[in-house]
Amino acid sequence: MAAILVTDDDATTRQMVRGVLKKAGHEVATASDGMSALRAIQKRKFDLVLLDIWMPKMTGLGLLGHLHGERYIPKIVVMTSDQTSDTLLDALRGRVYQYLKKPLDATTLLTTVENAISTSPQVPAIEVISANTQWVELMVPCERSVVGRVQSFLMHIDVDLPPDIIEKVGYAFRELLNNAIEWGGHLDPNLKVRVSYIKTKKLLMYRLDDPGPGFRLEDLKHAAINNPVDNPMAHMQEREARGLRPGGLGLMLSQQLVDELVYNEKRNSVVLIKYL
Amino acid sequence: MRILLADDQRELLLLTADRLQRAGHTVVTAADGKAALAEIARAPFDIILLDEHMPELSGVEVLHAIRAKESGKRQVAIALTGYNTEPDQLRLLGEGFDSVLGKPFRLDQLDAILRSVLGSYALRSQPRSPSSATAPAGLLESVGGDKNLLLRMIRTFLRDTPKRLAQIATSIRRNKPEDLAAAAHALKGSVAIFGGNRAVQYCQELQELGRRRELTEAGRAFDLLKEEIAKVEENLRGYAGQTSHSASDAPRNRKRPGSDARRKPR
Repeated sequence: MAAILVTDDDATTRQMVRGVLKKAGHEVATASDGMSALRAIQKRKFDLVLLDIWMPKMTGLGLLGHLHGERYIPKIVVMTSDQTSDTLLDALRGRVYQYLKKPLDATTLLTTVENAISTSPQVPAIEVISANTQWVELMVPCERSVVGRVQSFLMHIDVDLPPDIIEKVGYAFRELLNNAIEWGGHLDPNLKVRVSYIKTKKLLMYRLDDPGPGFRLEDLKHAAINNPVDNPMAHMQEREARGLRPGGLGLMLSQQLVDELVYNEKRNSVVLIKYL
Repeated sequence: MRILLADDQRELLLLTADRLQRAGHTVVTAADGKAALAEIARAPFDIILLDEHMPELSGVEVLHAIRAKESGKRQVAIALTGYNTEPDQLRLLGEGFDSVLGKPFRLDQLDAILRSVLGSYALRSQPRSPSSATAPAGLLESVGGDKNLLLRMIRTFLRDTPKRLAQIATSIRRNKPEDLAAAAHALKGSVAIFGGNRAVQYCQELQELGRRRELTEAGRAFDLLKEEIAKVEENLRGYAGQTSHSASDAPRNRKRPGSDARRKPR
């Protein structure tokens, strides 16, 4: 159970979020504008704040600014229907934990909330190196929950792109970031992966630099990409023998989903490109 | 469409679920055969996608269990398999699957197979009348299946929406673009919950007109918005009336249409 503050100027939304979270066993308080949310946060310790952006008296982003000097800052999940790039990037700079798109549904809401409250407060924050609409660069700790969080921001910057492109690139990006965090960073939150997102008129590019020594493709017997032609299931047998989670299709699927997938010599940096 | 997706390969499960959700379907996932059967027992699905090899119970065993209990309507089922040779396909079709999809599959292959299965599904199922008072698809699921919560939300929406519309009208009349943007934004948030896509679109338009401080077109957009909101309200009133009638847990809603009718001049 967690103490959660739900801040939204729309009564129906507050009621929905409150109802779903209470049913899941959480303790829920509500606020209908930024000012009363700020007062509530200063008065007591919340584990999580669900924050609408556009509210009367003080916007969600204004509230983030006010929280800057506070000794204890709860984890914040921003929820908005206006996913303009600027809003997202401001939220990212304001150290928002995750971004949630409205209208909300109970499953996504609960998953996001459970992930947010189960992540240890000791995990270092995502460091923002650049955050303009053409170039976003982040240093992210090697920890599982970071994948969904980074994706929640980056995948919504390009709202104008066709959904299938966002989805394909999103899947490939998620796979590569998972690999970088798991194989390159050994899930050590003190190690960081550098994530760069660059968008030009003609292409969308992601680059991931992981902190590991790299790898040799021929050593990836546990990945489907290396399966011999006559044995399409070889990687599954290898994974089973090594006690790995089922999977290993990521690299192969990723390669099919984007236009270019290029590794450096050591294979600890990868670039994926989708032409627009 | 309600779809069950059962596979022990997490990446495939996530990718496929994501794909189906984006196409507007409600997707429930299960990581093994036993969990799949439990989900099927809980609520019916329009289509089930079953991995052939899963822990606990295999896809074939799950399908046999379903077919054994089947009476009347046939469950549409697609097999997902790593062994996708012609003999394997024939074997799985022989076990009672409607179609077979080899893994790993490309997204367009999934699309094609769903389209063909959905096509045959559409022929078999009765078309729904668009005018009947149904909650927009997936609404109850979007609030975690809590009917009472949904009814409370509908009441709040029906209570607050006239105020929001009045705020929009006042802001246009008094030429206050900031107020218009704020009121349209607020209404957009709640109407989006209930799936009034056109109403959301007009709210968005009014919000942008407000932000750009161009109110000349606002009156026209507001008229269109009112029409759409009226449809959403009517639909929700009908749904709340029917649901509270069947659940007999919110009698206040049942009185509303009647009392409104009484006030109408004859």
